[in-house]
Amino acid sequence: MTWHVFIKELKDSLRDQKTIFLSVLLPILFNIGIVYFIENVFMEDSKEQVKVAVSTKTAPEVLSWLKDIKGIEIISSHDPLAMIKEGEATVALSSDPDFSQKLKSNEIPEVVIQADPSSTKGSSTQDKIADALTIKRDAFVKQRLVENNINPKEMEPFKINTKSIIEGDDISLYMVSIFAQLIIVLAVLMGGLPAANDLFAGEKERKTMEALLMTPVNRLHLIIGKWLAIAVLSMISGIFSVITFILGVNLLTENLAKALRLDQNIGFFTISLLVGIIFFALLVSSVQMILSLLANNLKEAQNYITPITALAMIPYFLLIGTSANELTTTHFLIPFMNIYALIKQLIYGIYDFTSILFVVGSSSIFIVLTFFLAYAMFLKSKWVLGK
Amino acid sequence: MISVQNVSRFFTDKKKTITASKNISFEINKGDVVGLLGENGAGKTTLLRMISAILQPSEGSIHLDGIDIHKHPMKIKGKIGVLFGSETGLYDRLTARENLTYFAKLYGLSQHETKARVDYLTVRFGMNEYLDRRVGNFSKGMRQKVTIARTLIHDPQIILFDEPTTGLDITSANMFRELIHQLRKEGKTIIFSSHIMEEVKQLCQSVIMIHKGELIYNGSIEDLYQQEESDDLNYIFMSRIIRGNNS
Repeated sequence: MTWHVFIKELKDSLRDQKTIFLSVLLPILFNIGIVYFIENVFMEDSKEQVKVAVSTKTAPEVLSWLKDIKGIEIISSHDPLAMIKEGEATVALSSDPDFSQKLKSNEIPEVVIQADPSSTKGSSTQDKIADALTIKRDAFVKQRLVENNINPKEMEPFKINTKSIIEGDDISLYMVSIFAQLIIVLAVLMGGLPAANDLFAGEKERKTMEALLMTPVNRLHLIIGKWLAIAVLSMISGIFSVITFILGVNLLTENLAKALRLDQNIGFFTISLLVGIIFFALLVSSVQMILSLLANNLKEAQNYITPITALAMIPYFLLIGTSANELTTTHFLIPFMNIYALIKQLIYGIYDFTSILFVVGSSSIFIVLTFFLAYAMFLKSKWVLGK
Repeated sequence: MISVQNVSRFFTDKKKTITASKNISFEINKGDVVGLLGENGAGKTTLLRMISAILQPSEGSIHLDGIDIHKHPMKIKGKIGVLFGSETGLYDRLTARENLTYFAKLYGLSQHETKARVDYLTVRFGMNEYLDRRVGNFSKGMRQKVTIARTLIHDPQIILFDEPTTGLDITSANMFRELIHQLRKEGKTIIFSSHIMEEVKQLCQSVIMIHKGELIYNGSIEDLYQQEESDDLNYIFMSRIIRGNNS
């Protein structure tokens, strides 16, 4: 009997335009939009010239150093700070007017670089200019040491060399990682949402629930059929989203496609992601069932489910600054967080069977708990029939 | 035979206990057509829900042919058909045939039985023209017919109607009354709740009156007329309610 219920619910849901929109059309539009944004707006944005307002009194020597820095456009101004405040420049720079003279006479001239700390572009350009000037300062130090018969190596007992552990374009891979997590999880969350609302709260509102409960079918069969229908729609949406994202990256982008190299271990990647999506969809469906059972009608169900869906995004933000190598067992044991961790790990090419087992194990426990809570509610007339 | 013994049902809402049914007892014989009368909120729907085994009584028991409905709900659900309202309980995105077939499967009918029942009900209610169209686009009258067909898909012995003619136009309401006449001839046991006294007078042999969850009359309409020395059911109903309020 579970099969009949499942097939009917699936057929009914797939005829709902909301389901088609959220499960199929939205992932396509969302993926194309995101991929276009990363490749053509975000990545291009990083190549854009940043405007640096330089005081007209700045020493010509400093100005010539600035001209050597790539990615900045120098604008002369009487009041560089005002230009930042008016949004006409991102960084303001000024130096002592008699910079060269002070430098020669061993005084300490000053260069002031100002930026709004809330602007990423401003802060990074500020650092870039500071780094360039530091190199120039070090050259002066070396020259003075030589002039005073001191070996410059004495001032540099060791070198510091910072390198990325990612081969190739690490920024593109980071972008793929953060957007893939967002896209896949949102697709699973949204894919079964209309069905979850409709199959419990909607049925209460339309009184089809009463007709259903009058049939001689065990309520466990009814709820399993409904739950599986919601979960399958979430899975379809999630899988569809993965396919369109990967196709989008490979067909519409250059930098991202190079960064996302799936040629090796494509089998492990696919199976792991599929397992993650299936268990996440089963868990999400159970939670959505509970919320839909709590509601008396569709509107109420939407009111309950929307903030809970937003809550599911919290682990995403918590993990955004954590690298794939920093992920610990705990990340894979916490439901909702584990799917983000798994996707991140897979995008970075870390194929760890233990992580998948943790995801499956912890998700299974929470699926059982949430499903039986939903079932207990489904047995109570207060929840199953509403007010 | 339906036997309702000392049935009460309490609900808790915001820490307040609400009594929807209080110590109700009555018996209904096979083939009887019984009218269930009561004001809005009197507890008619709650009582029908308990008889149809979707709601558990807080106290008391309900037996159908000697079987306790709530101890063995699966044994009796196949014998009961219930219709709340006049056109509810349909899936709008399914066709009329899909709706009927789905419920036939849930009632455990075989593929052959399902086809036979769907064909029979299609002819009986003249649904042939729109059987394969989605219910969401149906008129009120078309929906009403499909809803009734869904209620009768498993050929139940006992049929419960909860205010089936409320909100219907004269033609649809008459069609419904005609249906109850036919079902009565077929020997079905019918309980239907209604506000329309004329309808109850026409269709029922006996009535059950409920006021604020309590039974205030159970018996034949003839006995009621004799007791009240009047044949105006509307007047009798009102006077019983006023007496119920004063007692």
